[in-house]
Amino acid sequence: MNNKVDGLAHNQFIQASYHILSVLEKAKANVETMLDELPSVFLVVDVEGRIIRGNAKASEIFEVDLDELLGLRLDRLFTSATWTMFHNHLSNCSGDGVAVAFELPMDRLSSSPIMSWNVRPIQAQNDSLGICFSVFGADVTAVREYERQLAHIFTSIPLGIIRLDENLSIVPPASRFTEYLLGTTDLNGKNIFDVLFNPAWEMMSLQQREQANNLRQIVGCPSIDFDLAKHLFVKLIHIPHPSGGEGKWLGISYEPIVHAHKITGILLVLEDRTHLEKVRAENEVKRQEEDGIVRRFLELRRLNSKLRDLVLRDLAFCFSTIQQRSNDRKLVLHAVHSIKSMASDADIQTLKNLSLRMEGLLGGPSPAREWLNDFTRPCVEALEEEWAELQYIAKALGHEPALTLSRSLPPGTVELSQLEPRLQVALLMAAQRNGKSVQLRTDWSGSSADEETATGLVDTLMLLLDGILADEFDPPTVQSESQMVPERTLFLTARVVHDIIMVTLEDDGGLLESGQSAGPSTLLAAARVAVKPYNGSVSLEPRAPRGSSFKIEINQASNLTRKDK
Amino acid sequence: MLHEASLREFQHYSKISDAQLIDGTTLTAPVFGHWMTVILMANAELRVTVKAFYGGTCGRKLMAFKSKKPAHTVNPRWISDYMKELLNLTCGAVKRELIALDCNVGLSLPLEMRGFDELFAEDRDSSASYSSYLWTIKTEHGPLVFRAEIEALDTEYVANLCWAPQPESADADMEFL
Repeated sequence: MNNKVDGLAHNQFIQASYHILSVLEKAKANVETMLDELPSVFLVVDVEGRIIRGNAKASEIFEVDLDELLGLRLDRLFTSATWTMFHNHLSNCSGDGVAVAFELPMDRLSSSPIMSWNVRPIQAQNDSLGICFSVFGADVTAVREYERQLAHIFTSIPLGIIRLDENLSIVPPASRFTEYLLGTTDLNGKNIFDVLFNPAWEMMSLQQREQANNLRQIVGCPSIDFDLAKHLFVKLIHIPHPSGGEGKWLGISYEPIVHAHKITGILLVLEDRTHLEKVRAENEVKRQEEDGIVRRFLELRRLNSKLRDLVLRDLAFCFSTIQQRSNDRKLVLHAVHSIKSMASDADIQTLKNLSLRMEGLLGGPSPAREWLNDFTRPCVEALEEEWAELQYIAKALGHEPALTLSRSLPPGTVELSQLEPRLQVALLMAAQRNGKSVQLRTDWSGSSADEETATGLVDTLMLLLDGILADEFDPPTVQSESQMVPERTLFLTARVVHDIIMVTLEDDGGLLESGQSAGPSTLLAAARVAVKPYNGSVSLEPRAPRGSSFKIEINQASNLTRKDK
Repeated sequence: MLHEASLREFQHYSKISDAQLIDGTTLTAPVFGHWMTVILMANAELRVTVKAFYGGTCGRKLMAFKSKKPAHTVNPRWISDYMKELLNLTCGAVKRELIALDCNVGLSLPLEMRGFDELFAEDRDSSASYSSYLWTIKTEHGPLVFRAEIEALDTEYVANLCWAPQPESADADMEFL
């Protein structure tokens, strides 16, 4: 009975053992199946490279049936060169007893995939085999191709891309353009402050320095804080050129590197904004210029047209004093003061500011004897530019500058050409009155005279013109109704030689017949009386082939002497 | 005994009569196939480990032939059961012959492993007398490589076992534990 009980117990023990063995077998089979179906090559090879275990991926890569893979030597699956390298790694691995990783192309296949191999020695219990090697191989062809493409992009992209660790030190790799932007090739491990912020520190505002320091505080913070904090970082920085050149404007953007919801590093993207900043600055200058033009335009347009003409005329007179570069400092200061007063009265802001500044420069103590020196020249030039702008705008508004103002004349001096409108008007009125048709051609040759002499001269000329066209001097031509009145021409020329003004008034013969000296004698006498107060003389001569010629000479010098007396 | 039992049971179980028994193998030791089934017969004096190595393709074809189904429809688990059953039948037959010689042995469950496990599957008693035998059953579907490792814990007892081939009964079947 006891034997039977013992037998039953023993049988149950065996059955339990069988059961647990079955469980173990299934568990092991699952692991083995995973190895068989690994997406990477898995091999076990002996020292000679003979395969003693393979998986489905190995069968696929080597294009050999799994059953046939067993016992195959690797040298039959690689080219001799590849196998030599592979075998060297196996030998190194067996010698050191540590795993080795390396990459070799599978140039046996048409596609030549690049395989990443990891070989680890294992000790078999089977004494005949000794040491074996587990070989894992992954096809990294696509990875390497993507890496190559990324590297190409990374080296050619015109952006500086830097990865910073928790200490704000640069972690390689950085994009190639970073080296150009920061002017150094030695970036690995450098702190970002050493290569980016510190060189620009002197040029940075206090706010920018504070923003740069904010970068130190964000590392280690929860990633959710970054969106708020990134607005507090430096966005634009000017890096000076090491050798004193123009330097670069760098735009900076920031992205967090997050691990476990903590910011463990920062990705910096640097953009060269030098050109953009230049354009922006130029646009700003242009905008300011345009604003200035509009402002000047509005300032001038606001003025009454008569007042505007008056102001511009007076300004022209004052500026003529400056433009003559007179040595008289007081005279120039007086002109500038007048400009300031007029600009202030007319509310022309820029001119007022410039003249105020100029007045300060001229009125203050200056070591230079000349009022126009290196110290005052920029202000003078700015003032003259402003005057040119005002003249340009005034012209657009319809203002015609006085002819006398186009040249720099001494005060109290007028150009004789300024007399012409009055003469033309007088001539036309006389011609109309006497039924004549006449035109006056003039050649003033830029002659000028003091105002008093000019007044006497114009009075005399008007007397002559009126007399020439009078009936008693030149009876009206008898004409039929159908006959056109012939147009006559008068020639007036003026010259100034050694302060003597010489004016000649000639006719073409239609009005003053040659030899008719008796007719004009009265006129001649009247003219002589007219110029006498100005120390002048008038003579009448025949003009070849026809016509007559009045000659007026006035000595300005004697006039001035008389005036002085 | 094992050679003949393996061939006989294979022919009977697989319904393949033209299989050949060959001593040794042309395959490279020690891993003769991707798959391996193993079974143990043992008592106090004797320990016999029998391993059958086969390739995945061979196993699939044999199973397809036996089940009369296309090879691609064969479930890998059927192959495993097939090979374990074959080994169990073989060793069951041997066990019966040993019992007839008054040598009572226990028979383990057959287990399936990878052939590669052969590298690590040795558990040899250093005091035992060891011998191993290698033979192949060659079929048109592929080779089955058998390896038997015999450890004689009582050398004298084992040496006195006298075995002569016996005709196998037609209704011989598997051993039930």
